[in-house]
Amino acid sequence: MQRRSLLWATTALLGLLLGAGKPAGCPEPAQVQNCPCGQAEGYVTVKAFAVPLQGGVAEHMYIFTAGTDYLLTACGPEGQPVPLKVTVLDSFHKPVFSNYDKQHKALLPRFGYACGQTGVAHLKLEPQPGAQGCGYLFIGFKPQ
Amino acid sequence: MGDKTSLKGLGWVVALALLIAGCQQNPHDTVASEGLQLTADYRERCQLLDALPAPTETAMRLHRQDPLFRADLLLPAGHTDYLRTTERQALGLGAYVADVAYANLYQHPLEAGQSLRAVETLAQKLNLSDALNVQALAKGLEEGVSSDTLMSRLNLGAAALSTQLQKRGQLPLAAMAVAGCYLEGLYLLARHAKATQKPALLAELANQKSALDVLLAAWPDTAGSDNPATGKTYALLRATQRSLEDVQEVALSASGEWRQMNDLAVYMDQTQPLRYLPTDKLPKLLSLLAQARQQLQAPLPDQNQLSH
Repeated sequence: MQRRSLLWATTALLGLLLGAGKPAGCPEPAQVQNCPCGQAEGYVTVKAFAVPLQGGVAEHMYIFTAGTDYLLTACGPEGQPVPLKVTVLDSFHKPVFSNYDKQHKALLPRFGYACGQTGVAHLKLEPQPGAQGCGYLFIGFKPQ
Repeated sequence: MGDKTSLKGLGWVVALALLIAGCQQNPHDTVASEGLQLTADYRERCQLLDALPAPTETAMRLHRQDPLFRADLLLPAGHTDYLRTTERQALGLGAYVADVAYANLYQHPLEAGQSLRAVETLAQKLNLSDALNVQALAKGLEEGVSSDTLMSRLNLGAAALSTQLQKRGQLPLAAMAVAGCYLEGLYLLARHAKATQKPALLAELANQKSALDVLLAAWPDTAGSDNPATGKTYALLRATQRSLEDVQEVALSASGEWRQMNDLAVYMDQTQPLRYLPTDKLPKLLSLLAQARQQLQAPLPDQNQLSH
C-alpha cells in the first residue's frame, strides 16, 4: 500500500516539476492569424512570434527597414491583451524603447514604430509575473 | 523502517526531478525538435533566418514607388518540373512566394494564382503542404479577399514553411527558400529601379544589404561545399553582397522620441539614411540576379545542338 502511494506521489511530483519546467507549446502564429489584434487597417502582418507566457524571457530578431511604419501588437490567441513587456534593442543590444508607459505605469498593448534606419533589432519579450497561456507579438507593416 | 525507506526514495526522486527540470531551463543546451537534437549554433542560425523581412515588404515599397506591373518579370510558373533536387525546389519555392506577393500587390490575381500553383507544387514535393495553406490562399484570391489580409497570410505561411524545415533539421533547405525569396524580391526591385531610375528605388536597393548580411551569417556551413545548388547560391549571394558594398548607409543621428498620433503612441526614429545605390552598379547586380534565376528555369539549349 505504502509502495503504491509512493509511486503515485512520485508520478504526480515528476509531472508537476517537468510540466512547470517546460513551457507549454503555443500554436504557430500562422494558425492564429485571424487574431483580431494582429491586423489593423492599412497594415500587413509581416512577422509574428509566439511566446509561452510562463516560459520566461524570450528574444527574437527582426530587420526593420528605414522609411517604414511598423505596428507592434502584443495579444493572446483570441485577441485579448496579455501582460507582455516588449523592448526593442538595437544591434548592440542597447535598449531603444519599450511598450512600458512610464506616465500611466502600464504596458501598451499596441504601439507604432516609425523606422529611420535599416538594421537588425532585437525584440526582448518579457511575460509579467503570473502570466499564463500563450502570447503573440505581431509586427504590422505600412510603407511611409 | 518502511516509512524511512519510502521517504528516502521520495527524496531521491524529488532530487532527480529537480535536476531534470533545471536542465530544461538552460537556454544554451541543445533542444529537441521533432526528435532531433539541435545545437545552440543551429538555433542561432534559425533565429537569424527568421529575422529577414517578410516576402511582401520589398514588394509593397516597390508598388508604392512604381505602380506599373510587369508580368514579363515573373518566373515562368510551368518550370517547376525542371527543379529536380530538393535544394532547387526550396530555392524555387521562396522565389515563387515573392512572385505571388508581387502579382497580388499589383492586383493581378491571374498571375498571382499561377505563381501560387507553382508554390503549391513545390511545397508538395518538399512535403510542406501543411505549413502553407495554399488552398486558403487560392480561395482568398478567387473570392477577392482584401490584399492586406492575403499578404498577411502569405507572410505568416512563408514563415511557417521555414520553421517546419528548421524543425526537421533541414536548415540548408530553409536557407535556400529564404534566399530564393530574397533574390527574387531583389531582382524585381532592381528591374523596376533600372526602368524608372527613381531615387527612392535606388535607396531601397541600398537598404537590402542589411538583410543579405544577415542571410549570409545564417547560411549553414555544410551547405556551401557539398551541394552544387547551395554552393552556387552561396557564391551568388556573396557576389551580390560585394556589389552592394558601396551603399552602406551612414546614420545622421541616432535618437528618437514618442509622439501621439491619433490614438496610437508612435516611436519616431529620427535617424535618416544617407546613401543609395549608384545607377552604374545596376548592370552588375542584375547580371548576378539573372544567374541566380537561371537555376530556376529550363536549361538553355546546348549551343552545339543549335548549330546542327
